[in-house]
Amino acid sequence: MEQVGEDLNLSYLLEHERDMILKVLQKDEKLRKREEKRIRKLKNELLEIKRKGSRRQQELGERECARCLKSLGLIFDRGDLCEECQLRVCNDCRVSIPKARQWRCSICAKISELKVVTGEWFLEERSKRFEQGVPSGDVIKQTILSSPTITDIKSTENLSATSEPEKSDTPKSKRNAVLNIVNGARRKGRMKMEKKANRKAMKPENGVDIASVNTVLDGDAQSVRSVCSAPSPRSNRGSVVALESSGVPTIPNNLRSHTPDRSSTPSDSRRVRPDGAESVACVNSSDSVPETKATGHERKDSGTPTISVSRASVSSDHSRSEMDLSAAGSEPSEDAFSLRSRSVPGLNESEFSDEDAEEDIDALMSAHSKAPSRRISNALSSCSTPGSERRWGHLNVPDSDAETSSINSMMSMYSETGDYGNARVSGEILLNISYSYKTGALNVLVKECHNLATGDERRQRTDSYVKTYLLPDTSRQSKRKTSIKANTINPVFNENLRYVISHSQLETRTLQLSVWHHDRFGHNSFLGEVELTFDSWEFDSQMEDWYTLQPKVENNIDCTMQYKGELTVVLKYIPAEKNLTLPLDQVQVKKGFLKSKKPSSFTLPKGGMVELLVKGAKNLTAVKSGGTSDPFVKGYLLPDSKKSTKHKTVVERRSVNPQWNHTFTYCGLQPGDLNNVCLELTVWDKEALASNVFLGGLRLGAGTGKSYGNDVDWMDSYGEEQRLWQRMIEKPEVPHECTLMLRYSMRSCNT
Amino acid sequence: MADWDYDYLIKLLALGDSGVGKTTFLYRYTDQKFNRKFTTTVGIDFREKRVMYTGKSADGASEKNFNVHIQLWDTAGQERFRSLTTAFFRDAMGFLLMFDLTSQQSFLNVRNWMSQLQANAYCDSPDIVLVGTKADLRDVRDVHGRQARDLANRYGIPYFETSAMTGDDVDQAVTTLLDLVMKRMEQSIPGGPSSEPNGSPINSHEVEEASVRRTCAC
Repeated sequence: MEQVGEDLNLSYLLEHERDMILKVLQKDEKLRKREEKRIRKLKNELLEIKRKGSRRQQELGERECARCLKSLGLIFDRGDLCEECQLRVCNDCRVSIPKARQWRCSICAKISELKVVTGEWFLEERSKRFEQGVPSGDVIKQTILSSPTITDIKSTENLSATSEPEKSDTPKSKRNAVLNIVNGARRKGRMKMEKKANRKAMKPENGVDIASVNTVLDGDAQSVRSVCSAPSPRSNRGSVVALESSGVPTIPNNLRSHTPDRSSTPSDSRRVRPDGAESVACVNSSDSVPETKATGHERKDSGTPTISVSRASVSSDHSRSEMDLSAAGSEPSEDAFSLRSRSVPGLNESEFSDEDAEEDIDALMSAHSKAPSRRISNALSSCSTPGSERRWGHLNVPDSDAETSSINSMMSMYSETGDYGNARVSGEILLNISYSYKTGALNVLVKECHNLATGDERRQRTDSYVKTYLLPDTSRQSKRKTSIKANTINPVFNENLRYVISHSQLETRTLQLSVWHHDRFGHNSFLGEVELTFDSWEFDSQMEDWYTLQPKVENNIDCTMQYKGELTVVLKYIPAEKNLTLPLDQVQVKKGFLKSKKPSSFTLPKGGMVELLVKGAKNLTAVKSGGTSDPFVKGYLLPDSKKSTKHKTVVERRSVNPQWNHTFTYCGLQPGDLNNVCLELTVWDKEALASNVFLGGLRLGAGTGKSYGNDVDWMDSYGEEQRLWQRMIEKPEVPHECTLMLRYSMRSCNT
Repeated sequence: MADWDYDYLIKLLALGDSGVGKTTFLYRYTDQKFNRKFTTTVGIDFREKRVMYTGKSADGASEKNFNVHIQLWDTAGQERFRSLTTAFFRDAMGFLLMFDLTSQQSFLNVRNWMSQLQANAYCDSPDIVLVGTKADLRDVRDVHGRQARDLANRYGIPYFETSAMTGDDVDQAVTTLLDLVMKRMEQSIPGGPSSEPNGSPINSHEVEEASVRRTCAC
């Protein structure tokens, strides 16, 4: 058997041995950093090619090369479909495959080339076997560092079968947490770009589904924003989870999980999540609601209305101010819903992609030397130091560059965004962008705009101002505004918007610059935007250029986003008294729910067990070329959204109808827990060079909106989800099979 | 360091019993020197070397020289470091499995190392080269060449008898391994730069006791 679960005990190392090993590891780290830099460079080349191509797939004419946008001839150079991405490209944008009379478009060729030269092939191969992408060096290093005394026994690696009580290292994990946030933020930035770019390469053959994915992810600035706006608590958690989780969820008989030495109450851990989600929700509701009313968008729910509705109504529950509006929106026909739901996938994407940063190549190859160490310390302490997680949720991160989400400013951002579909966009903006090494500052000199659209049609008036965010940070710290220039469509600003940021950080950022009409009484309207990336910019050069203002892309996302396919699961509850004879080593056991109220017992899990067999899914969205996806399922038993309850199936390659037949087992459940926990399942498409794509999800639970007396947004199971859970409770020991419709967003469905 | 300009970073790892001469072998390979002194490797170490590799260029049409930066991990053979060293197995793309031609025991242990590899490497049939060391010590030789070759054949891996003292076949062993890794790499992507039309599957080590193994060839 594979010794994945071997525990690592390095306490035997003598002082000087430790030092020697650490020295070696340091040397290795250096090498890896160098490698990462090289890889980043290569990736920038890819992005460069991608950028040349269309920004938005939908806009792409049939007779245009998808890569260079050259129009294709009718007879000569008619273009042909790339076998891989199924986009029509001209002769010049092809790379022939040797020894085969085939070719690929320049991007597909570049991607596969990158896969080789970056060593991604290796990581991919390895990830089939070991989920964790953390370099062993870091694991070892952390292990050594975290075992200060000879007697201190640590299990790292995969944390599986050590029966030792875990020792946790709270301060360390906290410190690392902070570091990780920074990492997370950086990674996110990159992810976003890749995501954007990646979608472009997707082929539209799958008609609606894909198209919608594209729209959401690719062009839709809103989703882009939401990617960026993923509130920090989430993202923190995300990266933490990601890294921790790369342990090995599939280890049989994970004894570790039976040591409920967690010091916190469940509510502690719970706070993390709702907190994150809350701000998300706020964003959404504030986003579209008011504007929708105002502008009266016509949108049709063409998918399955029930789902979309409940989803839509969801968003409201958390918003503080705009609540009322969305509350009204529990009726299916309200326009607001669809509009709001439009932004959902994006949001979710962000919410989750963070979590899945582990799958990102960047994460895999990361030079975030600290990040991996997080995994260890946190894994060790994942149960015992929820405090550290909570901290990230609530504290504003010291590093101002990391996204410290301020709900207010996000609201302000989104409150304005509702009606850009309505706004006409025209004109351009003159910018001078420079970076000063001396002061470590990015200077965005907004010079002037030319020929702006009219902001207020009725009054024939345009009072414009320019606002910028350094995405992915959408917090107040990242926001800059010019003054308002009254009543002109050719405003001259000559105002410098300054960001103090290191150039390495900047590489991962995107400057989003939008022009708005300021309306003192009504809502501001959107006049256009420009997004600039810095990853391939020579920082010592100045950019001065006219940029054409772009509209927000609003495509008919809503027509297809509803149906995400269905998931078949078998759910079984085994009550405590029946659970005693369970052959523990035959199931993949994870301490599902750690009850800290119980005094710690280091024996086998007490209490009941929920067994979930993830059978398979049908009609998943195809996001990869060839009309397939590489789906896998991830599960958490909320409120414990940390590693300890995370389960994953294997990745089923190239299928939209995968069969996993993978069992997630959660034990240690007391009878009272069943009404307070929720099994969150999400389906993902595994991406090699980018972050994973969210394909749908569901939540199995009581759907009461409450967990242990607290209001939580995730306790939102409804319909069949809720009924299945109920059946499971009512008839224990009986397997309940059920096929459930996947939600297309994991936003809360509370009513 | 300014020399980032390599095209590939390839990570290889040497393993085998304590005292078979892994460190000396690697030292010979990277520095072309022989170190007579025996020092136990503490846990883990690595050496680096830059080599040229001739492969297909990106478009596959022409031959091209690539700069390959090799990171050669050296592991402690001692049992007490075992958990530490095996942890590094998964980060390596290819392996130099070494035994001492003057020690039958170290040869017998190849089997164990092999199963260690199968369990802990990045996939269950990684690229491995079997290396017999100290070939110059003919008088005290304890392992027959045929014996070793048979074993290597059973595993489907190349075998070299090397001497760090004379330098015999040291380079060849590493180069062979590098080739294997590069080939696997090139084949890892469908239609990659040099997917062989005659498609010889990459060596999968058919070992009788391994029954349920997927092949790693992509």
